[in-house]
Amino acid sequence: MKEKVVLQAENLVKTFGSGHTEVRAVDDVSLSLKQGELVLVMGPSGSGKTTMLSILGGLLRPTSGQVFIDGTNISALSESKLPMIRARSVGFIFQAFNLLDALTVEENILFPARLIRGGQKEAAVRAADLIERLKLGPRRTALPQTLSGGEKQRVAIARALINAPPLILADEPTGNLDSTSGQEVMMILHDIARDEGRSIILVTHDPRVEDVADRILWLEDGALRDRKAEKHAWVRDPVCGMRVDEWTAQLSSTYEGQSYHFCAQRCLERFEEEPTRYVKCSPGEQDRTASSGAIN
Amino acid sequence: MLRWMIKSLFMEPLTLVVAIASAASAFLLIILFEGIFAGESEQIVAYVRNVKADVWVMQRGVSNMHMATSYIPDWKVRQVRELPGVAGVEAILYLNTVVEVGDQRWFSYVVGLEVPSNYAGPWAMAQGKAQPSVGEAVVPEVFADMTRLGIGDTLRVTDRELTIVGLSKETFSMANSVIFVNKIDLEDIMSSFDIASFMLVKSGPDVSPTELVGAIEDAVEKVHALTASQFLQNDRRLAMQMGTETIALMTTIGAALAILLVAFTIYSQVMRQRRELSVAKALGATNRSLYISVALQAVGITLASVIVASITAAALLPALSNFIPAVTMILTVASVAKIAILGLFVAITAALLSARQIARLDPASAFQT
Repeated sequence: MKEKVVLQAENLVKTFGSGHTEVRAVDDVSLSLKQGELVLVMGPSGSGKTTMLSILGGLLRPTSGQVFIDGTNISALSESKLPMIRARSVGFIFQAFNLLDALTVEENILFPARLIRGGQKEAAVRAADLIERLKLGPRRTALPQTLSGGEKQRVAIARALINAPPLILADEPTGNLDSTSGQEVMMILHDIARDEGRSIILVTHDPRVEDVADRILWLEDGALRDRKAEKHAWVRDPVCGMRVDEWTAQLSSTYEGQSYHFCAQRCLERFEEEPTRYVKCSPGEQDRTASSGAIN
Repeated sequence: MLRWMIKSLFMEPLTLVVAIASAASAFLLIILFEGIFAGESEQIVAYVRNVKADVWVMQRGVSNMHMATSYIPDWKVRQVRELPGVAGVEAILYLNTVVEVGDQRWFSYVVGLEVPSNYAGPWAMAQGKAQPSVGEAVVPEVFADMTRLGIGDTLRVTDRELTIVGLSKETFSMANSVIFVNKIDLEDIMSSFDIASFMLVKSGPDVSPTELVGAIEDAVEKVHALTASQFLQNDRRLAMQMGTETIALMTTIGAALAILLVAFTIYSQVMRQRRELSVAKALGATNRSLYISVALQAVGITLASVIVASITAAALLPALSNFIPAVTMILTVASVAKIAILGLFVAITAALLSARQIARLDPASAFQT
């Protein structure tokens, strides 16, 4: 049986500015995503990953090219029809969680369901199920400000799933999480793709995520390219000991002339509070892992 | 969506309270202006409203008392007295003038009474006698309090010193107080003898005021007769017209202030919520649903402000009337309804000012960290 294509992008181009100031943020990108696939999009900062994700989710119109979600050409839809496509067909997961501060966990999860007419009872049942599955039961009536980073991201995942969209777009979902919470979130996303057949595009700098991906795409200068082997230079996060790609790491700090790279904001903050605790006796160089180079 | 917007408002209760209190202050100002205007308008017609005449007769061409001049010769008064269906006639002389007390000057209705008077004089007394003899005057109690005068003191009406012998109730107004003097004194002051300004006519049991009006105008030449209700209506309309422009200006200023305050609150709320509104858009909220929610926020704030203003006004008016007896204020249902309608206009205008901000929100900015 032929596998269903959930997302099809054809020759996407997005330029900002004009003339001398023109920037080609997305440059002739084509990709397709089958049902249940989990695809990683990696690349250096400023390579156009988030712009591409915005176009794929119908948040931004491409300068040229087309995007099909479940067979619908969303690039051809009017502005007034795009919100409904986003509500029904796309689940968004953001690095900064983006929960609505005034709403409880349950209300946040149900928010996208209330943007769609009808089906409120079914949505309430689905919300209860998601709360249970994502272990948010005791936090059902809590406000976002009282949640941990991991809990916030689990709420955001539940919110992305509430309308059962075929496509999930996640932008650095582990970027603001410590290693344990990040690992937990990745396993949830993996299960969603494998067990529920949702297609997931995940933009990340986190190399630990590579293990759960079906495919890895490398975006550089707005274009999809083959990832070069030398693009990895693994070092250890001095706080938690996780491996970090020195070349693509977003979180770095300099201490006594030496750069240190971190897997999460929390590790960076801890390091900056008391660097001597983590630098220990070898301040000259961040501990490197056994080998440098690409994995997989 | 609406639940989110309402809960968002309550996320910063202090800001919400300040916003409601500020807008309520603007509405309260409007209510107080209207209340004072309504109260003063009623006080301007207090004499016409309270005396017990069924028909008023005046010089032809005159149709009200406020700021009017009317002359009727005495023989016409006698003519009316003799008409069938007339139960009684009291003729008053009337002068709009400035009464001087020390260095203070008060615009007043000076009513010259034929003493004894049964129904043309003061209808409620606080102290002293109601029927002024020659050289005497009955003044409003509030007027006496404000000018620190009492019974036995004197005041000056044009060139005549009169002794205060009575203090009347319900006869004071900032625009015109009613002072009762003897008709002989007023004739002397006005150098007009054997005339009256108005006749206050009582109808007999078998004649309606309307029939009596026709009978008087048929029998007595060059007079104008009106039923008491018509005459009151004419005076009230004139009083209202005199202040309409001022009140309209005050209402406009108050409404503009309220619009600014509510619009600023809603605009600030939208600006504070920019990120969350972008997220809502990214998740599938339409501009239309966001506009409606913001408009409902504005309506909620405005409605709360109107309620707070109305309750405060209802509580303040009696206290203010006691504290400032010179000012008469009336809070009417019509006035509150008018404020509520004005509030709706304020809310919609305030929400529209934020609509552009909402329309310009970029849903893709939800991805920015």
